Amino acid sequence: MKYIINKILITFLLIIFTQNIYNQTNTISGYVTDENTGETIIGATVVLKGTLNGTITDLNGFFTLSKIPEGLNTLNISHLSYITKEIQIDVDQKKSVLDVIKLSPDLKKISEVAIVEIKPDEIGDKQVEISQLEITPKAIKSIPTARNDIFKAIKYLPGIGDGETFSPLYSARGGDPSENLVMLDGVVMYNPYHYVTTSGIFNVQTVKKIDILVGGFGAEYGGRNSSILYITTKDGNLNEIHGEIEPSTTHTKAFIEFPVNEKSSITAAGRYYYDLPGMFFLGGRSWFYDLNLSYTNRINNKNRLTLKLFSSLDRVNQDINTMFSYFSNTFDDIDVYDDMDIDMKNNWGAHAITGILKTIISPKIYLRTQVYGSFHSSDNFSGMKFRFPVEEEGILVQMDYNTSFKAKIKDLSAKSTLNINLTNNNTVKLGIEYNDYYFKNSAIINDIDKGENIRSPNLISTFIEDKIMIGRLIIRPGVRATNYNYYGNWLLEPRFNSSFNVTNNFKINAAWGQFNQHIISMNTQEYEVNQMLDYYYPLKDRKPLQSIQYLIGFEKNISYHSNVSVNFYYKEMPTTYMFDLNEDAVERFSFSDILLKGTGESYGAEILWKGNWKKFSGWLSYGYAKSYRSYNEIMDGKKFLFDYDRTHSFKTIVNYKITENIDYNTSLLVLTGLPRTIERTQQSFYYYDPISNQYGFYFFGISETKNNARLPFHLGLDFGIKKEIRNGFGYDLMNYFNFKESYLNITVSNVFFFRRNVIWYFGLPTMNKYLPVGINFFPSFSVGYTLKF
Amino acid sequence: MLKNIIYILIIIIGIIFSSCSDDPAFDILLGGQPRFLTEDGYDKKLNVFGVLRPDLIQNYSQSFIHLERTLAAVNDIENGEDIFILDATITSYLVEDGVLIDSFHFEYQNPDNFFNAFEYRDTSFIPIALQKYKLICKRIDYETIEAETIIPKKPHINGNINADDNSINFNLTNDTSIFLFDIYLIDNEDFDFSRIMPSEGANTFVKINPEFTLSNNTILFVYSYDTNLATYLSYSNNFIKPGAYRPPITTVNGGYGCFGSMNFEVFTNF
Repeated sequence: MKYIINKILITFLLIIFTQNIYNQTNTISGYVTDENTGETIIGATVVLKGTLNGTITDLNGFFTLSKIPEGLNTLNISHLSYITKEIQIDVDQKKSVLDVIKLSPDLKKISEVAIVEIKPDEIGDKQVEISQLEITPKAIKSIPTARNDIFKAIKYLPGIGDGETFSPLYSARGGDPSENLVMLDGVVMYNPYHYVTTSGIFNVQTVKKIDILVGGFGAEYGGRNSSILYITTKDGNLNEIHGEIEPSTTHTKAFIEFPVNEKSSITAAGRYYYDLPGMFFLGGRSWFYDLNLSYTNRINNKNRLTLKLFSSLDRVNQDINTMFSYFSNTFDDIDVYDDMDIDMKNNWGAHAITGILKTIISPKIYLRTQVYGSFHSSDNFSGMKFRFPVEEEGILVQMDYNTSFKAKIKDLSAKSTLNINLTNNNTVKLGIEYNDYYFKNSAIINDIDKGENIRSPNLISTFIEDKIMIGRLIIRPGVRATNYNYYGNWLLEPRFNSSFNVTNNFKINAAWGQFNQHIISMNTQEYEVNQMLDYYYPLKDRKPLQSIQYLIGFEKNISYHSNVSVNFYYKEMPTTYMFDLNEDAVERFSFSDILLKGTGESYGAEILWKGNWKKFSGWLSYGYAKSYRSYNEIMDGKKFLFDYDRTHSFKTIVNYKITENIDYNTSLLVLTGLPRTIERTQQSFYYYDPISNQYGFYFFGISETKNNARLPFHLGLDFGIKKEIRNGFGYDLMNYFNFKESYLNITVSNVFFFRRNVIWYFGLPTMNKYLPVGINFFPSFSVGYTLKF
Repeated sequence: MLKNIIYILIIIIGIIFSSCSDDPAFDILLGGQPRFLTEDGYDKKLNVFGVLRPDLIQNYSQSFIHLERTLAAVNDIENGEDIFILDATITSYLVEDGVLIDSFHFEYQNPDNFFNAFEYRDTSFIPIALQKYKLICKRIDYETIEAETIIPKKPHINGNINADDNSINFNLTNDTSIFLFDIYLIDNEDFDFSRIMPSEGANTFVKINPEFTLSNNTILFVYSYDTNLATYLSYSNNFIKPGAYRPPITTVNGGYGCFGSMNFEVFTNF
């Protein structure tokens, strides 16, 4: 293993050393930015005029272009939302890093830009990721029920699915939610969710780009096996102050960006939510906030420094008895205050701080260095007590259940990534990262202290990948090597991506890769409704969670404005873990003893059409998927359907521009019901009071077979309208504050309210049916304003 | 155009409600029924809750056996049988070196004599610490339940009980027959409850900070449980969340439930 690591390091050094040789050829590089805001532009096309020699700006708005003849040349720079620009450059050895190239927004194009962007250059480009999905902030804002929330919006993409109704967690292609990596500007975020609204903590007003890799990703990414959600936030307006205020019936949020001086800018955004209905019905004070701060200094045309701060906090205090008290303090002989006690108290927090230095070392070498600290804490309690003596029967109906989970996470990281453009046809990317972790977990279940588990592992990760173009074929072999001190050995994760451009409008992709994950999560969601977070748990002296992925697909432009992609995948999971929920404190006392080791597999196919047609834009997808797990301790190792398995998923988002000022959107979800364990039998469970020698009992459902049934299919239809206001209250409000634009947002959710989406079933021994419980009894309606300045 | 929309709506509504079963009103108002993927059905078993304890009240043994059957999750009424089983044959045997050397017959008791109805007792039965007892519970139409328990020793406090107005601490002596402690601190109307797993191979340190002030009237009850009761009472996955995988809870063979034992000690004037 040491030999391999040495080889990687030697390669790294050789590449840097030989860079001097490559520098003898003409290569240019630089940033492309928005002329009005100074914001870097991702996905702009830079072409040497009169040739096919071109490239696209990356996530940093940076490009490198080789094979430039010495002397005077013309570059053509274009982007869907900007006026195409041509600049003349005089190429010589001294002037190879260009000044920032500024593009002017094309206001006509921007107003026309649909919620999906089909960039002609994207098909047949140099990208080789097979399962890369992109969702624009505009699309997120136009999905009625997901308006302004990334995590709700991505569930409308193929391959991404939800699970428990009250949980914000998501699953990617049959993986566990804990196998998803969420990164905010390169910072790994842990549990980036709000409790009350089950939404994400990222304010869409600050977001520039959202990329999702749902499988087969390159060696650059690791640590999680299923998916990567990478969120890039804005750097801030370099020319003038801009902002947005969005008061609504549910929350208030604001965003501002402004220049500090000619080189630096600041963005700030905040959101505050107070649960008024909860205060009324559940008697508690529940609220959350999130806050984004960003400072970017364009030191010179070679160096950029960004500092970012993120913070969010949730406080939830709910007492269900309050709701009952509105009807009556008593039901028959039951006093809701004396005989019942149902409480939920949740404290969540996620905080992150980071510094990013982007340096153009030479036109061919781009270095991104980052340090960050990511912190998470949670303290969640839920309790359910009742005690109803039924004197005439001589029995006592009783329940006394409680759980308290606490978690603390610290992730301190330093990492560097180097992009080396050896030639236009050969780009090497390599990097190294060090993570210093601290995880503290503790739990009290049914008054029994399950102990405290503190672990402080560290992880060294390094990767190298080489993207090579050979005619119409692009290959990207790569390898990721990790050393996790709690496991000891260096482990290799080889990856291979390829793409073949059959024509300019049609390409075939294929990928293969091995993935390891040392930080897993305790699956507490099955305990009860309030424990819905990922409680991250670092493995010790155990093999990492592993998956091997095989992917193939194609993508075709069917017109200038639309394309279709088809992907097939198979995911083998030789090692997977889950926590034994059926433990007792005698057999399995500490956390480390309750891990079950098993295997799994998932496979499926996805079809995605996206595009624009006249005044319509949007996407439509269908997914077929299967996912299984097997553990020796569950049903003697028999394979069972995984909790997130949805065989068929049909998802569509449509945006219709009725007039210049009015956008109408609709979203439709039709999904196979999730597998769940529905009881066939009920058993009394007894609580014993040794002082009085009395016992009370209640019934709960039991089943020897896990996931023995499916919930009915899920159907969701929502509408939304966004109108730019030219008169009336919103217009007056805009003028009063001297703002520039005002929008009215109307959302009608749950249009199919008359058709229940069942989430739970309760057995009814006295009836011949299960009692279905859903939450969509009524359609919901919300109104809000967006004011921009 | 409008006609087409109406046709489409009718087709959509038809598809939506095509999953309705024999009671459309129920389905429409609340939702459809689950679609089972496996053939497993109602698991008809006896469900027992029995506790052997060595104390007497008014010369009545406090040991009891409660017997039920499991319920079918739906349509249980078809079974035509009461949930409480009152006509079973329940015998407890003293076991030494694997041999049944003495038997005790637990009979169904008149519910008027006890708060808990539907109990079987041998009113003169007094189990002895560290002795092993076997339960055999027979009932026609059901599988016979068999289970064993070893009566735990009385909890013992090693050294003194240290108490002040707001807290109390002490060490419980290590004992291999004890798998769980329940500790009650009672002062008139106030009480504090702690459930503690014994430390492995060592004395168990207990510190309690009750929300009331300790007085001369404060009484400390310490209960010790055998492995069966400890396993049953400390079971984690007993929340009523629907849809969760929850196999039957049992420490007995042939049925479900628990047959266990306990002991206790009372401490005052500390």
